[in-house]
Amino acid sequence: MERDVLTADRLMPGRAGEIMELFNTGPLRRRLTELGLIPGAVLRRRYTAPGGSPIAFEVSGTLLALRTKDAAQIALREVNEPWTA
Amino acid sequence: MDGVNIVLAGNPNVGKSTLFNALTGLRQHTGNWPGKTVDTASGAYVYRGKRYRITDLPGLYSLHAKSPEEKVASSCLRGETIDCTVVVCDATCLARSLVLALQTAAIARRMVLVLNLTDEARSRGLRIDAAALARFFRIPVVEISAARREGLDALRETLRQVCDGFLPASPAVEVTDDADSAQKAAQLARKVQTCSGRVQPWRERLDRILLSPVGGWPAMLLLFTAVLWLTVKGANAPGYWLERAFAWGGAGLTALLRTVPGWLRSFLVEGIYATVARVVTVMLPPMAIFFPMFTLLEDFGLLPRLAFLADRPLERCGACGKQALTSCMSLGCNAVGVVGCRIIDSPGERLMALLTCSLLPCNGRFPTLILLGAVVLRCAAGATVLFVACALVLSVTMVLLACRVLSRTVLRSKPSGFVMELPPYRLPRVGQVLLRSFLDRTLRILGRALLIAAPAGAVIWTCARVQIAGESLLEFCAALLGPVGNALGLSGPILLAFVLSFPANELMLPVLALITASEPQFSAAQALCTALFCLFHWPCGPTVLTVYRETGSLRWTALSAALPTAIGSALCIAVKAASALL
Repeated sequence: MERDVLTADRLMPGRAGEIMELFNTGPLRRRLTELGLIPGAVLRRRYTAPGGSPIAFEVSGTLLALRTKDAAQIALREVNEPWTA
Repeated sequence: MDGVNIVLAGNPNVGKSTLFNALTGLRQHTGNWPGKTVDTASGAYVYRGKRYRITDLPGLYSLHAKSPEEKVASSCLRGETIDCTVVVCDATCLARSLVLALQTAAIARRMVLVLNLTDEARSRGLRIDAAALARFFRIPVVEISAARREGLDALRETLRQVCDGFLPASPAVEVTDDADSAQKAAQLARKVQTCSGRVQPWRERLDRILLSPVGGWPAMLLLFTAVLWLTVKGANAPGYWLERAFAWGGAGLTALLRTVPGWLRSFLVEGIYATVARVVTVMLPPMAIFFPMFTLLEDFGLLPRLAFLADRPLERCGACGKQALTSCMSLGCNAVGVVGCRIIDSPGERLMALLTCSLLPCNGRFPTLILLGAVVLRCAAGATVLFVACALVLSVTMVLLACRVLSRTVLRSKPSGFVMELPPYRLPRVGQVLLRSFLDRTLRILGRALLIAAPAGAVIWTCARVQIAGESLLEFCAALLGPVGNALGLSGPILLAFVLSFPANELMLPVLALITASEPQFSAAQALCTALFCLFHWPCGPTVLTVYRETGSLRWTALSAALPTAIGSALCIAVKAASALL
């Protein structure tokens, strides 16, 4: 992935991004799609585990934990989403 | 009475099993984490003279399934004999729940949509236009709260009307693939949902502590240590009273059986009664305290947070965070943990979790450890807690080490991605959960004591009386195992007790008492080695059978038995050598 593309793992805590494209492959890609991580969905970074992985993202009101190296395959565009809890 | 076949489907952790329990009166194990149900369950209820058979499927996110359990659920949903499919949705998480609802609607003949957790949604200021949903799908939509038993009558009545043909319930929906259904679900959720924006700050604050890089582990460890402390401290007095009660009962029984021949009296009192008494006295107090508390934490939603924290260390050893969950299940019963490994998608990681389940002490071994801890340390309950805590830390360390070794040797596999939902905290009804779990655990332990400990006591008492070449069968076997036992820092009788407690781990101390014909005595070093061997030795009979059933392979089953034994033996030999030097 090029350096200037924003990926989910490089999102700052508390910031949100709209998914542009998923570069994950295989069974994980399907799992992510089932869980609602599709182009157009907005995810917000919430928590990071000790050691830097996994990261907990908020998507459609629920928390999803994803490994950092897998989050690095999700390309985003940063957005300013109002906080809805 | 002809029957109606109903299938319950929905995402993991939406409350299907809670609904199933409420409708059928059965007791599926529920808990606030995704993946709790790994088997389909069947039950039934009778309503207005008709019998409704319900099948509770394991949760699935989509019908285009990949794991074996999801494939089973998916093909079940496409089956011919279903009269009505009930898709349970989480009202607090509508967009995701609707993915499966849309896919099911595309293939189901008759369908009812259930919105569960409506009380949670209300408390968060979420309002859902159920009528609009019903119009979109062209099926009935029922709002319930399964945990609070709200809306269940309406659901039963709706199902009756649908199955009798009075209420139209044929959905009219088309979806193509996962991305399409996800998009449609998101659009639909946006249309029918309104949020008044009320926040629940305490959940956020708690997650900020538990899911933080700094506070997460200390908070978790503090919590588990508190639970352990309450268990050990709380079990003291009841254990003492149970012992007194059983001794009194034993004296009464002996008096009652005055007229019976001596050997039969001994058989009944010292063989059967004493074994059952020992098992119950040692197991009941700690487990009847630990498990209700653990269930509370489970229902609250703590376990997925544990998996979140544990994923990184497990990943470095070739495993995945969900193994933290199966390990927790193994603390109750290793066999249950083995079955629970179905929640792990990758076959290599699943096998790894399977093989390491028995490295964790179960119901039957916990109390033995507490007792041995008291012997080794010879002081107050506080130190025993430390001993048990250290034992658990050792178990976990061994699990990680074993995973590391396995992933580099026999179980080299491509790691799958770890993705896990962290459900919101749910406040369980504390009193009800504690009471239910306490009674459930008590009955289970008593049942096991009667079914397994009683016959075992009978058999072993008999073996102690059967003579071979001048000594009893037991003494003969103990002498045979003597050299090995001594090499391990144990003794012949102790090793024999381990062997004979294969049917159930809790038999170890009672059996030892029968072998030595007295209360078990240990030297401090012996107690330490016994504790280590208790933690790491071959799994019990039911666990071995379950491993075989889950893997279908004799090779892996043999490894599951050899692995802990090898670890235990190595540790015992090391401790014996160290104690010889000191």
